[in-house]
Formats: sequence, C-alpha cells, structure tokens
Amino acid sequence: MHAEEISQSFEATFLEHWPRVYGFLLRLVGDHAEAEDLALETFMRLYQRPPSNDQPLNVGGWLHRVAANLGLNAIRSWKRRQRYELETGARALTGAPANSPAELFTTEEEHRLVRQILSQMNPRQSQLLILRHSGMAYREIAEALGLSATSLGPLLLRAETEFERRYRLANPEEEV
Amino acid sequence: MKHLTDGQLRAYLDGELDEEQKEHLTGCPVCQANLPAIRGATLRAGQKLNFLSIQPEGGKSKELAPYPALARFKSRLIDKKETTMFKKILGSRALWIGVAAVIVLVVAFSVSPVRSFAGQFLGLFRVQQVSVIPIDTTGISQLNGDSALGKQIGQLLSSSVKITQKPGQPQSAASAEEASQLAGFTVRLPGAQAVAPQLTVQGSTAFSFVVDRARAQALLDESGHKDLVLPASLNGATIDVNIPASVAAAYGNCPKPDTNGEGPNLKMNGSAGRRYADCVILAQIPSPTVNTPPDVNLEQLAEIGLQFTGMTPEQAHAFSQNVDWTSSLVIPIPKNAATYQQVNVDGVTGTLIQRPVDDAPEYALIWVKNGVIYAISGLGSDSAKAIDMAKAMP
Repeated sequence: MHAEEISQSFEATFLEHWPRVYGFLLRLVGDHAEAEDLALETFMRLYQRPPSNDQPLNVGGWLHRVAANLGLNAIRSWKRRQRYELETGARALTGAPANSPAELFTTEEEHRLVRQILSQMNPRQSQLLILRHSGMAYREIAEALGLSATSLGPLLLRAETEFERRYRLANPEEEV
Repeated sequence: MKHLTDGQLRAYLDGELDEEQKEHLTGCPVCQANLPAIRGATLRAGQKLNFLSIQPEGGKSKELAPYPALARFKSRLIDKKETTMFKKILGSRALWIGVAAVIVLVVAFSVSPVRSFAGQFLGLFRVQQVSVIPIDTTGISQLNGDSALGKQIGQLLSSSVKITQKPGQPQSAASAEEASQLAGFTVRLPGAQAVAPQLTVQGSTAFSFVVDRARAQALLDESGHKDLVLPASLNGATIDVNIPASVAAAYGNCPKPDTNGEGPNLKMNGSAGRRYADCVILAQIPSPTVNTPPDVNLEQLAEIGLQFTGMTPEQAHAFSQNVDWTSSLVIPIPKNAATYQQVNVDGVTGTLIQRPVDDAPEYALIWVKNGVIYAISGLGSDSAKAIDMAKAMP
C-alpha cells in the first residue's frame, strides 16, 4: 500500500472536513491526543467503508455521526478509570452544605460527569444532544442522523429531559 | 391552527419554526404560557452541554492542522494494511499449527541444546513431537484484537514484521496427487472413508521480525506483568519464520473455505456445531522452521512466556526442564476446559485433546510423523472418528 494511492477526491474531503471533525471530537472528549486518534479513525471509516452511493451523501453529517459514536465509545471505555474520580466528586457533593455544592464541582469535573452521562444514555439521544449543542443546525443534524428536520424539536426536548433526569440522579443536591 | 406542541416550542427556541407557526405563537396566550417551562428545561441542559460548542483553552496552539493530519492518516493506513495482512496469516486455520509454533518460539530456543551448537550461526527449530501445556486463559483473554492491549500488540507486530512471502489464495485440489503437487510434499489421506474429502491447499508463508525490546517490555508492563523483565540481549534480534504449504482435507458437511484466504474454519458456537456435526478436517503441514540468533538468551524468555500464561516462576522453570524445546510443538490448552491424553496412531504417539463443553464439544488429534504435522479436528464428542481415521492412514 502506498500513500499516494489515496484518491485526490478523498484527500480534498479530508482536508476540508478535518478541522471541524477534529474540533468536534476535541470538545467531546476533551483531550488532544484522544481527539486526534478518534478523528483519524473517523476518516479511516470513511476510507474503508464509504456510505452507499444510492443517494447523494452529506459527508460532513456522516463524519459527525461516526465521530460522535466513536467519541461516545471512547468515553464509555473510560468508565472504569473514572468511576473512582466520579464517586469522589459525588461524595464531596452529598457531604456538602446544600447552598454551595456547585462550587465544589470544578468545571472540568462537571464536564467529565456530563460526558459520562452522555455515554450512558440511549446513543440516538446522546448523538442528538452532542450534534445540536456543538452548534449544528437542524437540517445538518437531520441529514446526519437520517431524521426529518421537523421531528428534531420533540426528540431534542425528550433527550434534554432525559439528560436532566440523569444529571439530577448523579447530583441529587445540585439545583440544575 | 392547533396549539404548538412542546416539541415545536423547543424548535422555536432554536429558531427552527416556520413562519406560520411563529405567527401563531406570537398571538396565542396558551402557547406563550407553555414556553417558559420549555425554555427553562432547554437552558438547564444547555448550560451543562455548552462546553461542546466552545474551543478549549489553548486549543488552537495544540491543534493538528489538516496537512500534517493527512500525513498521519496515510501512515496509519499503511500500518493498518500490514496489520491486516499479518492477521490474515495468523487467522488462517490451515496455518494454525505453524502459528502455535511461533507462539512458543520464545520457549523453543530457551534451553541449552540450542546454545550448545557452538559453531552454528543460527538456532533452528523443527517439530518432531507434540507437547501440551495447560494454561490459565484468564490472563490471555485481554489480548484480543479489540482491547487496547490487543491493538498495541497488533501495531507492534505490524511495525516489526516483514512478510517475505505472502500465503496467497487457497486453491482446491481434485485428488491427493494434485494436492501433493501444489503443496510440494506427499499428501497422505486415510483409506476406506465413506466420502471423498474436499481438498484445499494453502500456499507457504514466510516472515521475519525484529524484536523491539522496549516496546515489548512496555506491553508486558501494561498487561500487569511488571515483575517480568525481558532480557536486554533480546533487543534487535531477528527471527525468521518459514511456514510451508499446508493441505486441509474436509470430510462431511463442512463450512466452505473463506474467500479471504482462510481455510475451512469450524466456528465452535452451538448452531454451527449442530450444522457441521459430521464435519471432520484432516490438516497436514511439514514442520515450520524458525531461525533465531543463538546469542539471544531465550531461556529467560521461555520462562517469562510460561509465567505470562499463569504459571509461578517455579512451575515455569520445572516445565521448561521437561520439554525438548528444540523439537517440540507446544500447544497451549485452556486449563479446566480441555483434557488431553496420549494415544498410539500412525505408528507414533499422538495427543488427543478434547473440550467437553456442553453445547459445543470438540476434539483434535495431533501427531508428527516424518517431519509432517497431522491434525484431525471435529465438533462433537465422538473423538473415536479421529482415531479411526488416523489408524487408516496409509
């Protein structure tokens, strides 16, 4: 296998979409090395298993969907590593006076908890939350996930409600 | 117009309502009254999730730009191809005997007989008999290709293995004579069988690898074996492996050889077990050879390998004393999940291994004669079939 066998059109797609896919994963997993690894894997999937040609492809949406999946899988695999840290955080919260728990949670710890909740939710719901809250428009999300744009409002509301429920369960003391 | 649903109100907050709906909302007190609750829920979730849209601090400076990223992508692509090729060789059923030889390679050269060839440049391993080693597989189960450790091992192999001869596609043969011609050795088939076998010939393979001690040690450390230290002499050693062509003879209703280069492969799960219950496969392959520099102190390595499979240092030492490593094919079998016994077949002593699992029992009979390794394997518990077949060898 020689590097130059990669087609020019694939290279152009790679160069065009890399910054967004990489940035998206960086925000999702919060670590440069991991984001890079996952972004490379995302493009590897595109290279090896390109989506079918039956319909015109929204490459950006496809890449974001695959990236969200890979990111969620990665977060899930941190679970064991992070359980201890999360338990420590939760203990600090439950033992704290009710008026100041939020202060105990540093931003990074909170992000970690949010990531973990996302990784435990129904994958479809977490994908939706991730894509929407990373700034994608309904039309883009709908194409990426194969949904109709008009269904997104209800689905988002349901996903956000479920997210909030889980967040409260993990943090019973905090006023969400 | 109907009142807006909660979902539509949610879409409104993202500016995703159509004009008609927006107009309705402006003039409808009922919908207006519902809006604050939805807005509250959205804001609360949004507060927690908004970091997904914000570039982390110092992000830009560490960010990998598109062109360097593309270069990394290309090199990963090459790595992946080579790993796949290696896996293909490793995954080939017809070659599993040779692979087992490679697995025990570390063990094979450890002991004094090899090092006593003072004037010889290379140690050489050739199979003359079979030994079985019961191992605790719990420590090894983490080595599958999907685990982080498995991936690292794959990468280590792909970056240090050079395939000098690719195995090619398996070819079918109409008769033992044709198979012999294709494989380059005399293929023996048992007489008096009710059906003619499907013969598949898998071409020969050769590869060599250069040991990167630091990386191999890092993997051992990571697998929780920090106590096992690889000898410094191992670094840079080149090991050459030659696996000759092999022939598989499939009797009964057997799975077809895969087109991706694998020979007939019995998947051992329950339904396949019933489907291929009468399938028996006789595989034969001249002994693989493995060359390694004699100055590498592999005795330590052998015992490290044995300890990795769950033995204590004392057990590993005792075991390694009892095997002639220069000529034995050592087959690891799962402790408590398989039994083995010696049987007389084809004029030599063979080893019958049985896995008495309830839903999918299986057996394999292995022996070595005149430098050729023979293995008969099948599903079910009727291992007498294998013995009868071996006794009918010409």
